[in-house]
Amino acid sequence: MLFLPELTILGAGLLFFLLTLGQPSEATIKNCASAVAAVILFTCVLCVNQTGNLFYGAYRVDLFSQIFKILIAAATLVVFLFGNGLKGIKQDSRPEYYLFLLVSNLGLVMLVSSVELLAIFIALELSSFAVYIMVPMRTTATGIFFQMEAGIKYLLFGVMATGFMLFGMSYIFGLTGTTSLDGIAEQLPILANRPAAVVAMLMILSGFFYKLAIFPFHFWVPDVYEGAANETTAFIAAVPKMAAVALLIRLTSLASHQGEMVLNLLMVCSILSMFYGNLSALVQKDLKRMLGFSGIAHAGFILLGLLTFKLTGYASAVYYIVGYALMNLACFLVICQVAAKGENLGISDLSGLHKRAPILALTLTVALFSLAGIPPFVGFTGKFMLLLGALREDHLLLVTLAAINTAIAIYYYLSVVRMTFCSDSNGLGNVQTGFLANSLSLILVTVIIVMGVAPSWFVALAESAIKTIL
Amino acid sequence: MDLELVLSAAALIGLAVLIPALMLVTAIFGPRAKGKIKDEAYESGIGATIGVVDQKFSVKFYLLAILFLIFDIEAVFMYPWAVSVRELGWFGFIEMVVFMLFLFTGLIYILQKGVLNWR
Amino acid sequence: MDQLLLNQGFPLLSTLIFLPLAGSLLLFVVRDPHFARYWTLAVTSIVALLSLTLLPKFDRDTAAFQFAEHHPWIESLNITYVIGVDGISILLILLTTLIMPFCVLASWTYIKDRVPAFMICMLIMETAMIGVFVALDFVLFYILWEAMLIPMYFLIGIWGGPRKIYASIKFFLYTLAGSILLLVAIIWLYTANGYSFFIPDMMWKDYPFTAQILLFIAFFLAFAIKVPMFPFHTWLPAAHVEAPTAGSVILASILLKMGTYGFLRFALPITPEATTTLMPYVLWLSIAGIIYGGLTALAQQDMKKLIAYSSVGHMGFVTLGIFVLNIDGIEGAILQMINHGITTGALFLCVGMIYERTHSRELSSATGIGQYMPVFVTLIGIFSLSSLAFPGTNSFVGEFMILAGAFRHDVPLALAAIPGAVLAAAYMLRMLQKIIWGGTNNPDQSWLTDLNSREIITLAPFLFFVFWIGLGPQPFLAMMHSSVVNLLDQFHGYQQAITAAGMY
Repeated sequence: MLFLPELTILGAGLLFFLLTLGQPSEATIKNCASAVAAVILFTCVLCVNQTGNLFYGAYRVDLFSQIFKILIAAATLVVFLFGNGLKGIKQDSRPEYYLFLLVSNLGLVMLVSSVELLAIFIALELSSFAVYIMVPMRTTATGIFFQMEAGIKYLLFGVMATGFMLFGMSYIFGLTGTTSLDGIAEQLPILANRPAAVVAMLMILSGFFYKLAIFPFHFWVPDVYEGAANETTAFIAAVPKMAAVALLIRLTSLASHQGEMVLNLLMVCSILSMFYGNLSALVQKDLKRMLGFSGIAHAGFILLGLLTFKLTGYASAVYYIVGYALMNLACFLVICQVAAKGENLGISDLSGLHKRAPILALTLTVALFSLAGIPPFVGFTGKFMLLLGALREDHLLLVTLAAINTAIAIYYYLSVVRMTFCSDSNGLGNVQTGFLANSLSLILVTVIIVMGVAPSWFVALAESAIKTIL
Repeated sequence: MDLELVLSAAALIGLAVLIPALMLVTAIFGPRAKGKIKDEAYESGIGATIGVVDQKFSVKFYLLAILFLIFDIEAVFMYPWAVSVRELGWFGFIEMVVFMLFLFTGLIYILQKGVLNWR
Repeated sequence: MDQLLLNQGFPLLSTLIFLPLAGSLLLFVVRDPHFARYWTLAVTSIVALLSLTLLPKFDRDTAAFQFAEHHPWIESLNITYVIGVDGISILLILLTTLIMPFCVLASWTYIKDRVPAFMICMLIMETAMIGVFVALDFVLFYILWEAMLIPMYFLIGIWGGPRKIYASIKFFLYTLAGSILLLVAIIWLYTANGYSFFIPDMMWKDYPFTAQILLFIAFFLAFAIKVPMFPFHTWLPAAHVEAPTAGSVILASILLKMGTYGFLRFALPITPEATTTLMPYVLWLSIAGIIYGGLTALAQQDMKKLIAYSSVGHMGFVTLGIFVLNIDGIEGAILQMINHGITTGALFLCVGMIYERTHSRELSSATGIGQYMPVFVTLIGIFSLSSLAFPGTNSFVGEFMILAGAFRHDVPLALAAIPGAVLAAAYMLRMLQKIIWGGTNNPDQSWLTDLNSREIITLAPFLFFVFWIGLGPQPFLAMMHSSVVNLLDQFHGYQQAITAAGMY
């Protein structure tokens, strides 16, 4: 029962493995995908109150991990629902695609429950390798030939980041004599300011900075976002980041005793991510690339919450990453629907969307204004809580720079909104949207607005979850 | 003296004499042909391997090497089991069969996708 | 909490805020433009009538916040939903609610496509605008302040003139950039006030001087861009010219007042020491705005741009009145806010009516129409006279009080402001002369039709208020009196305490 969500995902993966051996029809694959994602979400919700230790203490099931599992499963369900036929993936690779997505999901789910260094490593690698394979699985029918380049870039950067992380883990093991996070948490404050410990913690954090796309580890983002299929990018943009934040919370609560050095580094990474992401996004013409750069900026924001080293800061970071996942999923839903053959969308391809597909235009506008941080959406409330937490810890300069970045970001989000609403369609055809896409967009819009206006419930949930691990 | 010892010694000495002798005989009395291509070292059909950078390399060699590695490691894992099979009893046997079944499904996948056809 | 007089019975203010929003929800699924227009007219009229019921129950003798409502909202961050009106905000609320139906009427034939979307934008703007004037929790205020940007962006960007994209982005970016530092200031005040966002508790406190200066600069940037004050005004001509008529009216009449309201509600009470120190700079900046606005308006060939620059000048007078910090100045400034809303709103409506006919904003294409549109030129004549502060009209009372306050504070300052009044006369009369009589080679205007009844109904109330405030301003002044007196008493008391403590 403790392991039920993981077993379900594993079973789903095996189901798709069996499907790959046969010649299933489009409809079968699509329906199986949606069905298994729903079943996985259901089991995660069912097991939310389980607590226990597995695998000799390497794997802990508690409220924190179970809530993140629900979030990951929900986001995967949304990706499956609007993936819907996977137009961007090679025809004969579709069952494999779902298989790898589920394996990556399994890895992420195991990641949030791992409390031992090697378990973290195994889960991280499991999730990453599956996605490395998913990235080049894009059809060449749309005339795009750089998916392999994107895949190689993702692989090489990822492997390097993992190398750093492993090296750091080995140092920590050498210093503390244990690989269990609990044991390390006991030993590390004693070692606090030794350079070896500081460097080791930073190297471990860098493995997760890679997943979250923080400044010096973000170089994979624009090419992978542009080269991968729309559905793959949707998954990469939303789901691994949530797991990365979960692990970063576990790890930064360990690193909090190490004093000024780690704090300064986190501040520098945060500021540089925000500026780099926002300034680079200003000149982008491809929509997914722009969203990638904006993701780097938002990751910088989340780091603001993590560097407070306090419960409220962590809870705000969790709230923000969930809101960010929602907003990104809404944007990618629109992209997947408008790009009928799975091609890359330029910003000018969205012109006149208000006439071509009104509901999609509304969804995209709400999501973009929310990403920009305009009230009353979830993006504003999240940014507000993060700034509040940071200012409580007297990081005035950081907060001012973050506020300035919000102003910079407005421009590129507005240019997309302008294309969507204020310009004419220039001869681009109407977009076909089914009942599923429409209802999913409306649900996402409603959740974005409701979470923005009434955040208390979710923030309280996040706080109670984080209390169990602090 | 032991019959076993004599016979085994004889067999060993015989082999040690016979094999080099046969090789020597074929080298002296066998047919000989020389040619440019015959004298090259065998590299699975790939020509000069020194100094060429942009030569296309068929990926099926790599794929085969990886598959070999996987099934070879499977065999390697079977060795410790083989050594302690009596102590592990039925439980160990079932576990080993399950392990082999996992890798067997991988083999089915490979067969289905036609990887083993040398295209 | 004793600054609040809690509301009994029907939650009037919340209804005023949320009724337009509720009304807009229906329009999301409506396609018929006629239904959209009638429905919006109905909703805005109901809101206007409801707001009039505030008047009899409004207590003119107290400076506390009346009709107050207090509900917890986000408890973990101590953000509460608390709203209330006092003498300063009640007139602004009435201005907002009463102008909206006439904006809808003015857009009746002006907006031809995507009418339901237009009406949705108008209604959401009304919610945000009323909310800004009554919010007493800083986060609530900030949310509504920012929420106003999206509908305005769409109003300019979709239904605007030739350079609408440029104007809408300029408006959005300018205002947002200004309010970003306001957010940081809000959070700082939250941490400095025992983790509360309640505005009345933040007033008249002893913050350190450096902190006060920084807070004042943050407030100043946000509000000066909105007002707009001299160096930050460049978004205004672009936005006004490119916006549709109703958008221009809302922008001129109400949005600009939010900046000055912000000064009165936040900058003065929360950072009084910094206000006193930086006051001379703000005053001379206002003078610069007055003169600059006047001179630039004198050179305009585009009617809307002329009125836009005249707004810069008029709002310069308002900030002048606020920062002289005496009773005449502040009361005159608040009255002038209302007057400017009425007069400039009416002028934009008139220019919109010419535009609907000639499809040109150029002064040269509207010369000599007096012969063919007598009713129209009468009305625009009266509103122009009001704009230049002709005695008997509303702006005269406001400007007179402001100048009286300025004289009392510092004579050279007031003398510097006088040329502004002269310039106002110059550009207004120039525009009027060209429109009514023109020159020797006017274009042929004989095809122009005079105002129809809908347009006369739209302009009539503005005319009514021009003369009422001009000839009998006492009721309006009485409403704001206690609040302004309280503000100034607290201010001077604070100054004396500081001087006595030797910190000056």
